[in-house]
Amino acid sequence: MSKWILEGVSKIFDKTIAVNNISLELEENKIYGLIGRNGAGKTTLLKLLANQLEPTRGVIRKGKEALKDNDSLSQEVCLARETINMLGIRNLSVKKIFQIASDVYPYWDNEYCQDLIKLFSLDIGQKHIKLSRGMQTMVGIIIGLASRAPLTLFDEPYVGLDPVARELFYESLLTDYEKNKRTIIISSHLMSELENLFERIIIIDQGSILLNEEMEAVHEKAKVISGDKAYVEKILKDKKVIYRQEIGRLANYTVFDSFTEEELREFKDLNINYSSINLQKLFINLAKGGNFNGEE
Amino acid sequence: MELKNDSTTPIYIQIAELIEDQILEGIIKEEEQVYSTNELSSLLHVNPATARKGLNLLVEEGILYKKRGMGMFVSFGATRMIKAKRINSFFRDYILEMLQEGEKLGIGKDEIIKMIKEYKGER
Repeated sequence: MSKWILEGVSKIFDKTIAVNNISLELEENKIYGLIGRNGAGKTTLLKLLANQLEPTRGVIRKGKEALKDNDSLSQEVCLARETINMLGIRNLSVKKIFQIASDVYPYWDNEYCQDLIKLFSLDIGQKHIKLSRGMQTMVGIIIGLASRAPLTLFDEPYVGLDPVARELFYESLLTDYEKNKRTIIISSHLMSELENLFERIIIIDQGSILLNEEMEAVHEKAKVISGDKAYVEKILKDKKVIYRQEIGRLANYTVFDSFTEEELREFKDLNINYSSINLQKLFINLAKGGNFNGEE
Repeated sequence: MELKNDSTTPIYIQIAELIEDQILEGIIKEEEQVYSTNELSSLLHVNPATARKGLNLLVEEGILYKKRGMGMFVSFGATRMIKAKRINSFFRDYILEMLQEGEKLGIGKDEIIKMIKEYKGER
């Protein structure tokens, strides 16, 4: 097995740069969170990986094998989305769609597919086009899970789903992933529910990667530090401050950096408060601050 | 069982503490089997790697032990071990915090001791 690698990948539509010179190595058998605002380039990036779009510039490869014009490599990638683009397919029954998927994906597990249909109480006699949004999302989720594709991509796999169905999805995903390890990317802005599922996260904005980090490190480094502005500025002189909020003399800064035990003790002595923040808050402040200079 | 994503305590340590709590409360008894990585991962919606790290931390501390091919079990004496560990951190986690808050409010040590002695509650 070898890693998926993106080298200087860009995708330009007319004059819009959807993906801007992304270089990335995907570590095998990890669950990635792909986080970004609407229009940040999440879906485009996933479609490029699934070979549904071709990069304007750059190369996508697995090990030494390029993805371009490579059908057998394309079949190792499954992109699960709520929408199915091909009109011909949208008019088919769900049952027929699963049948087609079972032919396309070499690692497809039909028994597992049937289990999931029961679990989600999906009516497979219906035409896809007639299903509710949530049901269409479920079809995508089931294809994504049952494909057992070595690289499985879920594009916002919660659109229209009620909380019960979302939990069923998370639990199915985790249970099956533990048994059948594969590389999984979940694009999302619904982070509070999902963040502990991720082993690594990639935050993208305007087509570029802002952050690519282990979730555990994110949890450790992302902090809000507040106190008298003069002290806070002094203490954070050499730290990466990503968002500055000030109210009178109070500074309330979001940082992304490591701190020693000693530094944290010093904060207490100076009456400076620090607390960890969740991924959602980090992402929002990162987007608002806009001065994060990528990977170190 | 709930995890706090905005706590300064890493998730895997929170998981270890949740299991410790359940051992202390007698929900899981000594020599009984504890959750598998898979069960914990699905129960708490955490990545299996994180769940495994939490379990392994307890194995390293001797609170859990592995039975080949069967999973993880609570060690004999685990309750005593957890209590000993927590008594050690009781001063730092509770007393020190209390003294600091007291200082902010101008309540001295003697006054705090008096408050504790005068408390007539159940506990």
